[in-house]
Amino acid sequence: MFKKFIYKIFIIFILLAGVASAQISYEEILDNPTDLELNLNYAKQQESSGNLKLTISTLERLSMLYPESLEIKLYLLSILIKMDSKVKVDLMIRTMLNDPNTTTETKKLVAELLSDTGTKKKESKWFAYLDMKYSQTEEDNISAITKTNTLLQEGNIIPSPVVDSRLIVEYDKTNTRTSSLTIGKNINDSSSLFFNFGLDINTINKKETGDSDVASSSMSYFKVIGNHYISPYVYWTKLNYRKSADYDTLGLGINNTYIINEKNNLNYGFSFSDTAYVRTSVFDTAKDNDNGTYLSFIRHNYNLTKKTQLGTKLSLGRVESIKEFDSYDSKGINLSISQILPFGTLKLKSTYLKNDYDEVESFVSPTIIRKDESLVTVLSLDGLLNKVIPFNKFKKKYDKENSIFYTLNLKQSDVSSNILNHDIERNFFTVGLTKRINLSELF
Amino acid sequence: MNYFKKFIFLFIFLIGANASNASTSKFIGVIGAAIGNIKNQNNEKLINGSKIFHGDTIISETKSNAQILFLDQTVLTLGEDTELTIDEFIYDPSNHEGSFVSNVKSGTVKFITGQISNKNPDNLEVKIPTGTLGARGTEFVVLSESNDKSTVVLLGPGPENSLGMIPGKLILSDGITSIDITNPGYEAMVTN
Repeated sequence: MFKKFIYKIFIIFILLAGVASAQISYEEILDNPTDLELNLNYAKQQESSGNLKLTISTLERLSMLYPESLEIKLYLLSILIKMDSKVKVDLMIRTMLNDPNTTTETKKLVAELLSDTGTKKKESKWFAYLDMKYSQTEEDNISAITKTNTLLQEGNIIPSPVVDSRLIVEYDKTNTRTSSLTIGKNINDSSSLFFNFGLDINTINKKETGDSDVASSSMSYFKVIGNHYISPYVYWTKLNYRKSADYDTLGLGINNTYIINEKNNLNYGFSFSDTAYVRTSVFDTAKDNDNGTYLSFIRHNYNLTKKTQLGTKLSLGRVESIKEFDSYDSKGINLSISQILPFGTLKLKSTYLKNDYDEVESFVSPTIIRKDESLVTVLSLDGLLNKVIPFNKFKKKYDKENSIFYTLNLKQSDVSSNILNHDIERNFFTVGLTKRINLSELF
Repeated sequence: MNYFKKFIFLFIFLIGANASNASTSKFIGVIGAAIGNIKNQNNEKLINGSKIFHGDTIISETKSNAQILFLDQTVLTLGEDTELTIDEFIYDPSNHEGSFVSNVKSGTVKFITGQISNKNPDNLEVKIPTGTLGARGTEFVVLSESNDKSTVVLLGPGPENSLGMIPGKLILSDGITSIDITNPGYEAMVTN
């Protein structure tokens, strides 16, 4: 059932990609440079995809062809103000004020646009926003029941035990409430500093042992040097399980993105994290799970078109655990494609991972050293809620600031292992809504 | 395990679904807007949608102006009493490689640079009666008042633009010395 659903989604993806490519092209504009509706829609599409030069040239052409339209001039003026070009804004305002078609109301609108810019210029370079998210994940195998419904124990194959229906459940829902505060400072034109503090509260309908709170914080620095976008970071996460052992993770790493040209960029990084479990009277062997993780990756992104990006990522990892049989080397490849659509960004990612463990786990098998291969496929759609809601009244009443985002995520994890206990398939479906509150005015 | 086969098949399929066809044509641009009297070197009147070809000269008369859209998304706006020749336009839409050389003989021309300049700013050249000009990620105006004096004004984007655009830069040369303009509103004059 779930697989059929995923295949249907793939078909929808192909169709949507076709719709996206049917958007207004530059060639259509060359064929119809004077069509008001077509060109105005084209200007809006180019603005949303970040190609502001074409937005400006299109609006300037429409302004020449339809000089009586003040809406076009106001739209153009709003773009020019953001462009930080006083000379263009001055010229545009002089033109508008001298235009006999300009009404008093329009002159007020122009004044408002200018005062907004003035305020922004005076603002501190600190900025902040709070993301509040609610998401629900449905999972069809939350207790990780194996594909064969059997387990390996001391070298013998035994059926999966059914000890307690609360411990062995298949389908379940996880509800996550997240608050995340990001504070940043633009140090200068080429560098910024970011701080993030987050709290997730996860509750699971049936499998209560999975209930948890996650507190996290991170600090990252961002620097542009030529074509390099470098970002070192540190983070700390505290996972507080209500019915399992807690742990803290401290990590650090560095990423760099190198822009080769408009079509190609390389992203690579290294990271290390240390996870320390908390020993309590209930979980007195928890410290045995302590581990350190080393990870490196290199990713190539190729912009097939302005709206379609392909990515290939290679990764190498090493997990060093106190328990030798939990230590392993990991090699992976990830392929991804993302497509910008009128209502959001559709992404498809597939990751193939091979893990080779160091030693046998004698309790499971005295002779077989664990080797896993996994394929994780994720299909996601993210975007502004306003882009998928057709009712203008809703948009104006509930989200006039365009600050509510939706996410839909389908994930399939298929692990094949030479140890039956890890031969598991799981499917996840997540729906989430995030409200972003801009707090920059506090600074 | 057949994961690799599934995975490769899926991506080849998706890439194939997104592949776009490149189109080729002999014209190099069109007149996007023609206000007043606009004509070419053969004295033919150019109207909205008229095609522009390699080597064309576009002339705007008094109280006339025009906007020209080129295949690489470079956009030129001609003010009144302006004469402009397209000396060279080579453009490969598959990789955005090319070369664009224009000659502002007189009058006022506003440039919004396109893919050729994005790919390699050195491949956009503007000849003016008193020198040459190169541009990077930029919108600028060239005023050729006479054979002895030309003025170039950088329009943007500015360094504090909130649009994520690369700040503009102009490199102006009279053949002996060259200067850079990086602040919008700043202008430079080249005289003989």
